[in-house]
This record gives sequence, structure tokens and C-alpha cells, in this order.
Amino acid sequence: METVRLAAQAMGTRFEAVLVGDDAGFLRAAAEEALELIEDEHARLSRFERDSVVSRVNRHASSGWVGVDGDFDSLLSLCDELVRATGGAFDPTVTSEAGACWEEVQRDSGRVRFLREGVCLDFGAVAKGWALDLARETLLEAGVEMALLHGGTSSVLALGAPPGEEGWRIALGSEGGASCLLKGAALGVSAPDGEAGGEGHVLVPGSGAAASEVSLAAVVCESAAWADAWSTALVVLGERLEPCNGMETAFLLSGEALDCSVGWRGDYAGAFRLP
Amino acid sequence: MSATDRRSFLKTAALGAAATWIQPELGALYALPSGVALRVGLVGCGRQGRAILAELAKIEGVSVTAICDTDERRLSSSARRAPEAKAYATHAELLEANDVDAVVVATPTHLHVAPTVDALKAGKHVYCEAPLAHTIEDAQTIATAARGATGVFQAGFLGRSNPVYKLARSFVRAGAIRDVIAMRAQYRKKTSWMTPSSDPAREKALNWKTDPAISLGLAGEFGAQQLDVLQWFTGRYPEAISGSGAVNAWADGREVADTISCTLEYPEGLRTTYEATLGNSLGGTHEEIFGTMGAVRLAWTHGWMFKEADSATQGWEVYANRQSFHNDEGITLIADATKLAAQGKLKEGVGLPEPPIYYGIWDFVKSAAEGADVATGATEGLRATVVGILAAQAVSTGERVEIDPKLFEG
Repeated sequence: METVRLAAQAMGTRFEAVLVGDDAGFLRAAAEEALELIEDEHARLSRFERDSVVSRVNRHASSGWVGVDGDFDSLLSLCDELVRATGGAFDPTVTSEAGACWEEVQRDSGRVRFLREGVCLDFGAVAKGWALDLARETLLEAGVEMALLHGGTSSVLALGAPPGEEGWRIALGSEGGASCLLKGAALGVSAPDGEAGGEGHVLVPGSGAAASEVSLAAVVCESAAWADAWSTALVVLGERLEPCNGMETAFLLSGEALDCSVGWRGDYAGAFRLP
Repeated sequence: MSATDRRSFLKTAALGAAATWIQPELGALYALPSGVALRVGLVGCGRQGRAILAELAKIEGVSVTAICDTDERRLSSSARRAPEAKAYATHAELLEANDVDAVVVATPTHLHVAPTVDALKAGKHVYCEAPLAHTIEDAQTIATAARGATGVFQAGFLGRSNPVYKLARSFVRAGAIRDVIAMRAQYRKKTSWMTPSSDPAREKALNWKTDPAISLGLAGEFGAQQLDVLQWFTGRYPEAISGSGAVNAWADGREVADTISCTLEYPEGLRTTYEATLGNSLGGTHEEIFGTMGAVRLAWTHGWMFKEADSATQGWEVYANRQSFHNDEGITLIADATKLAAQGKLKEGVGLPEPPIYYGIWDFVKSAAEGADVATGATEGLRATVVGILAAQAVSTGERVEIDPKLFEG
């Protein structure tokens, strides 16, 4: 068995890919294709890149309709679902001027506009997962069966499991602490202070204040985009969390305590483990 | 006039003097006039084709009505980006359906000729990716078909549509760096240049870039595009090309060099050095033009001017943005500086507001739908392609190639 590891800088973080299989050349080509796709999504979705699609929309959508391609439209549809599912705890307009919300983003067959000035889109809480989901599709199409991809350790995607293992074991927080066993699924991790331990980077929609009710939220489900958005929403919601259909497993960590939300358990029950 | 007003006035006036030619609409939403529509079909749904679909979706009045690829996976991937388009397995079926006004050809280079010529014969406007072809014969066939066609033909050499490049060219041609003494360009990226597939036949088709029978290698696939920029800036085409290449980074049995260098000899002793590698990414992709009073570096989304200490200071430089590169300081070239300065937003103007491919596609759409002048026509496309093909020949043979000037006629 061969193992190939590659990395790329995108979305303000380091994406890494670990692929396992028989042919190192094939695995490398597959990893490159997956990471290039992630770089392409960065170029399209980063609001810090002047020539990205999202920057274009943010510049012009307050003045009228802006045409977008089908993939961007699909991301907006996904955000629509996520905003509804999380009751607005996930909201890609969170960095807009105070008072703005997703309801002020209007869509119509390949076009988007904002209902007023000051609204802007920021896909920071979903873009890494969205890109990982696209990368998974590419890897599966190529015929890759065993792989682990992550973006900045907060968005993780597993294809299959390493040879002879139940799944890919991911440490949560400090080494030797809680972990997650991931097989053919995605993990999203969110913390109010980020991995660097600085000021809060998850904002509460509406108030714009930094969220701080939990120290870390982690979600396992099929889609990396859903895991990403939901982990952010859980940090925002904290203990006010209500079980929700469509989510297989959720998990909150307050301090050193592990708290699996029983109501959310499904296909991935038991993914989170204590030492 | 208050001090602030005066400063603002001076800034605007100085920038206006430096950049009065600039298209005022840069950064605005481009749209075809009301009532004007263009239906576009895409032939070739790889990474470049998908990128083009994203740019077409931005232009009001343009609809992508057809997409085509022999590879089902690529076709379905592009269908998501252009959900209203009908999907075809061959360009013949696409043309037969006759529901497009224009065709964008983004197939592998060696497969450009058939869809391009057939679409032109069918009366469609055609945008063909660069280089036009992998052989001089095919490139000439395309150019001949384009010259006799009723539709617009644009070759995808993007420097000629790029607002930053247009600005830099105006400076160079106005003598801002004085006499051009040398030029240099590079392409560096760490990649195996391979595409994975578990199906051997599909893998062979997808990996045309490393097939020595059909690939122009780095000199043709990237060099043709970059060298055209330098040829456009100076108005000169090479008389001879020397080159060499080796497989230094990816010893996987491939024959197409992954690391190359070329020297192009232009009239009056001017030389361009071109180097490209798939083993290292330092500096990425850029072109440089050196003059006795300064140099210009162009990196597709950004451009800079570096001045010699003894060159005269222009008024507009006082307010320009600058960027340090070790001991050198580059003055950032901003394509819509006048307008941005007037709005007090000069710093926001660093880097293009759209990807470089957008401007090429926009030029094509404007020519096809409104009859605007073609940015890069058959003659320029053929010449640039010939340079790429002969540079590739110099690299693969290691021999100096003397160029018959007749190849640049027409």
C-alpha cells in the first residue's frame, strides 16, 4: 500500500490530503485534482479576493440583479436550507451591517440581489465543507477509496477507512482527550475562539457579538458543508440546542466534559469517543 | 479651494493624465444592450471550460444553451454550472441542433481544429482557446477558416484583453521604461500535470499534456500565451528559438519535459528568456520587460512598474500604491486609477476586479453580439501559436530553430 500526502493553501488555512492505495502516481494526481478544485473554490468564494464571485456579488447586488453560475446558485440553495434548518444560527450574511439577515438576499433563476445596502455574503462557515464535498466527488469519480482531507483541522472529510482500521481517528482538542472515529463521513469542528485561542471568530447573527456559550462543537454527518455550518450553529446556539431532523450525530464539549446529544444520534452514533 | 480639496484635485488630475485612455466601465457590471442576446455553446468541459462557464454566467444577455464533451463525467459536472444548457456528446450534434449563435472551443489543444472549423462553417461566432493548435498546419487551417467566415473569430490569447496589461503596454509604448533591452517570462507550479482515472482509455485521453505525440509541453501550453504578451508589447516576432528541457521533477516514465528554458531571438538583438517548470512554484506565472529606465512585471491579475533611480518622476507616481519585493519597490499598475482616485478608493483598485479570462470572454461577446473590434483575431492567434509550436520544437529537439518570416505573414 502507498500513502501520498499533499497540501495547499486556501481559504485562509492549510488544506491537507492523505490518500492510500496501490499506485502512488495515481494517488498523487487524484490529490492534486482535489486540491486544485479546493483552490478554485477559494478563488470563487473568498470575500477577501477582489476577483471572486462573492466579492462581485457583494459589490453589485445592492444595486440590482447580479448573474451567477449554476454552482454558485447551488451554494445559495444550500445556504437557504441551512439557514432554515438551524433557525438562523447559521447565516451567511452575518458579517453584514447590523440588522441584515438572509431574508434580504433574493434569488431568481441564476441571479441574486440584496434588498438593501449593507448586506453582504460571507461563506466562511460553510465554504471549506462545500469545497471538501466537491473534492470527495472528484476523488470518488477517479476511483479513490481511502482518503482523509481536512481544511485547517476544522473541516474534515473521510473516504473509507485506513487499511485494517475501523476509521480515521481524529483527535478533538488536546491530544489524549476526546476523539472522533470517521469512516465515509465528514466532521465539522467549531470553537468560539478558533484554534489560535484569540478573540471570538464565530459571530451571533443579528447581534454580531462573538459567540461563547460552548468551548467547542463538533458534528459528524455525510456532508462536510452541513457539518461545517452545523458546528458553527451549535457554537452560536450553545445549550439552547434542539434536536433536528437530518443530522445524524452532534456533540458538544464544555470545558473537559463530553456531551453527546442523544437526540441527534443516527448513522454515525458512537463516532465520538472519550479516552 | 481647501488644502484637502486641492490635494484631491491634484491626485485626480495627475492620475487622469497618466491613464486617460482607460475604459471607464472597469469594475462595473458588463451587460449587453437591452434586447441584444447571445446564445453560447461550450465544446470541451474540462477545468478551463468550467471556468469559462462561470464568466459567461456573469454577463447579462448571454445564455449558455449547449455544452459538449465526449467525457460524461465532465459533461455532468459542467451541467451543474450551466443548468439550462442541453448536453451533447459531440460538437457535430451541438451544431446540428442549431440553437447557439456562438461557440467556445476549450477542448485539448490537438482537438481544437475540427469544432472550430465546423462551427465557423456553420456561421457561428467562435472563441478558440490558446494555443490554436498543436501543429502549424492545423493552426493555419483554423486561421484560413476564420478569415473566410461570416462569424467573429477570437483566439484566446488573454493578455490583449487584460486591463492591467493594456495599461502597462500604453506606458511601455509611451517610453516610460525607455528602450526595451530584454524580456523574460516564467511559469512555475508544483504539479505532476496528470489527471487520475481508473479507466485506462479515459486516463490516456485526459493526460494528453504528457503525451509527446500530441502535446506542445510547457512551451506551447503556457509559453505561447505568455510570449504573445511580449510580442504584443514590442510588435516584434522572433527570428530564431533555442531551447532545452528535461524531466527533472516527475521521473514517472514521461517524455514531455517538466522543466524547460528557451531563448527567443528578436530583431535588433532583443532577447527573451522563457523558463517553465512543474517542480517548483516560486514566483508563479509572470512576464517582465526590462528597459533602460525601468521594468514592468505582469502577473495576470496584478502588474508593477519598477523604476531606475535616475528616471524622471511622473506626477501620478506620488499617489500610487507601492509594493516591496526585497530591495525593489514596485509601483502598482491600477487599470481604473482615474475613477478610483476620484472616489478616494485607489487602494481598493489593486488587482483586477474579475479573473483575467473574464475580459477575454467579454471582448468576444461584445464582438459577436455588437460587432465590436475583435481583440485577438486569426492573424495574431496564428502568429502566437506558431511561436509556441516552434518553441516546443526547440525544447524537444534541443536544436536552434530558425523561423521563416512567412509564417508570420497574413
